[in-house]
Amino acid sequence: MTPRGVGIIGAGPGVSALHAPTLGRLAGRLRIVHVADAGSGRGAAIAAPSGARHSTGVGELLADPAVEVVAVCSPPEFHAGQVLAAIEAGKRAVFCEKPLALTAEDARAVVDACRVSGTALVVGTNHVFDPAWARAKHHLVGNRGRVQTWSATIALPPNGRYHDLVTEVAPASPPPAGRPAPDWSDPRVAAAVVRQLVLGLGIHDLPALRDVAPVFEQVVFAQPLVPIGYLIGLVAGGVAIQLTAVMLPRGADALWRLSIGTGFDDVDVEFPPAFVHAGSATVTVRTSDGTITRYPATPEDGYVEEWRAIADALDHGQPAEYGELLDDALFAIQIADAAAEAVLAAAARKGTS
Amino acid sequence: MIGVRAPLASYRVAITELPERARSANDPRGSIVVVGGGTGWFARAVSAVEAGAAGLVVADPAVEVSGISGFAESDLRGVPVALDRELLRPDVAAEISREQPASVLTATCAAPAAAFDRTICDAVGWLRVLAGGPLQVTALQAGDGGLIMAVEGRGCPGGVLARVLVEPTAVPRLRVSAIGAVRSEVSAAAAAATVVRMDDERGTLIAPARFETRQRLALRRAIAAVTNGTMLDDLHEFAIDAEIALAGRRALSP
Repeated sequence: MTPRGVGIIGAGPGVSALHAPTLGRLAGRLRIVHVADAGSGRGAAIAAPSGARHSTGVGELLADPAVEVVAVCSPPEFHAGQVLAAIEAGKRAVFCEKPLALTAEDARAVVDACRVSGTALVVGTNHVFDPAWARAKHHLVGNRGRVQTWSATIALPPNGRYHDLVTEVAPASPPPAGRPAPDWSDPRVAAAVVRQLVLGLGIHDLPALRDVAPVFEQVVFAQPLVPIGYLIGLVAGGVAIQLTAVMLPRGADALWRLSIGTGFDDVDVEFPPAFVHAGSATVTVRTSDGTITRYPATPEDGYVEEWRAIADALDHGQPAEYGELLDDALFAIQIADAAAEAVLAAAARKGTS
Repeated sequence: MIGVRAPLASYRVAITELPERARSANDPRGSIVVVGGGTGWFARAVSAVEAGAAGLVVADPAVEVSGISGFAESDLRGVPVALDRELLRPDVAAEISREQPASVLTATCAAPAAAFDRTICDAVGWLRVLAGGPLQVTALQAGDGGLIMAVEGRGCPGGVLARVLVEPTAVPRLRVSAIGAVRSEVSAAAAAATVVRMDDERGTLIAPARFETRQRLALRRAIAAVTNGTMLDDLHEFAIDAEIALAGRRALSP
């Protein structure tokens, strides 16, 4: 079978260090045929190893008949519009980096358009594609005891540490240490950054959270963390939830851990660092009596699996779960909006707004 | 050598493990008295002091509304009190490094209903240790069987997740972290060794396991305080932690 042609919109580190190397692992099924940047010229370096074309803007890529799958890997504010453009261009499948959209209205428009056109759609929430999450979810669903608490704890050193292990293409943006810190004293800035972080970082885990706590209730507290991050407490489906993320200028290797507590068990899901391919997450279960079971990681990770889902949609007619994708997007937007409002409300209480 | 009045078997074992410093005694006068931490323990501690105890050890102190509000350390007449808290070992706490500021503190804990208060109390205690000072609760909400709490300690924000385990015999457990360029994490479960793990750019350091029983540790600390004429902060720290634990309990079971 001839590999399906992938056209990638975007040429940032998420493409050079993540999607391009990942597609190299599925070379028999998918191949990069076109890379479009926004004028930076970085698309050429990403396209070169696979002999793909490169262009600026989205027009040439969408008109390229070799492109069967459009990968939307641009900044989040462009995602919805570019997915709609790909559908308009008659493309059969779209891989959209998370988030699918930044507003509920856009999310509905995108999913409706995919449904009407029959376009296969995969959103790159890689953690929910990780085989380890399926194991953890099976344990949670199959065993006694409802979920009572959930935490997602993320602590990240600069991405460059991991980019350097999977690519030689220079990163598109400076490491966090080189960026000016947000003006946390301005509540509007703080609220906007927290919202952006939830939809850009926290969203990795929100579809998995929705698996066990599908109905959003309220954000109890939300606050920015220095240098960049958030601490959010919320309740969904009766589950007490804590979302913690901090991006650090240096320090320990990445920590990315989901901890799910039921009336009987603690289930930890620990993901390897982003960008590298170190296999699936590991799942550890501690039962009431203190017995600890650690399930082994498997070779495949969520990055490979999310791209395999696109290939399966095209090769085997694997149906897209439009309703689930829309509900995932709306769930994340609800939490992001409520977290931003909580930041503003807290500032108002302190009299700083 | 000091006498130790210990009605609890585990403390009588601890006495035998301190043969040059402790001997078993029935008379509380001039002795260290071990007080069981069940309901009413503070009143029993005061009674022991009134009976002439030179020092006290309280084993597994319960978090009681009356106990906390009734704390008046003056009732203890300057007698040092060592608290033996199941999931908060003071020797491990003393070695926690706070040189690197943290961006955030987190804690998760779980216990059966009977041990819930003291487990969340110990989790909050660990956060206090990691923060380097007492915590304040800034937000609190219960779900179905679980609890979310926002705290702040010396300007560092933190969050606590706590829940009640169904089985009465379930093992209480906690995990607390200080997350920054250096990441410190403490994991503790009843009857298991407390594990302290520190991650930084160079890798992971796991602190050596403590093989001394917590009963021997508590007794040794009380003996040292009596011998040296020093006070311990245990009671004061417990009162601070317990106030927060009680706030959590009230939210979960209004």
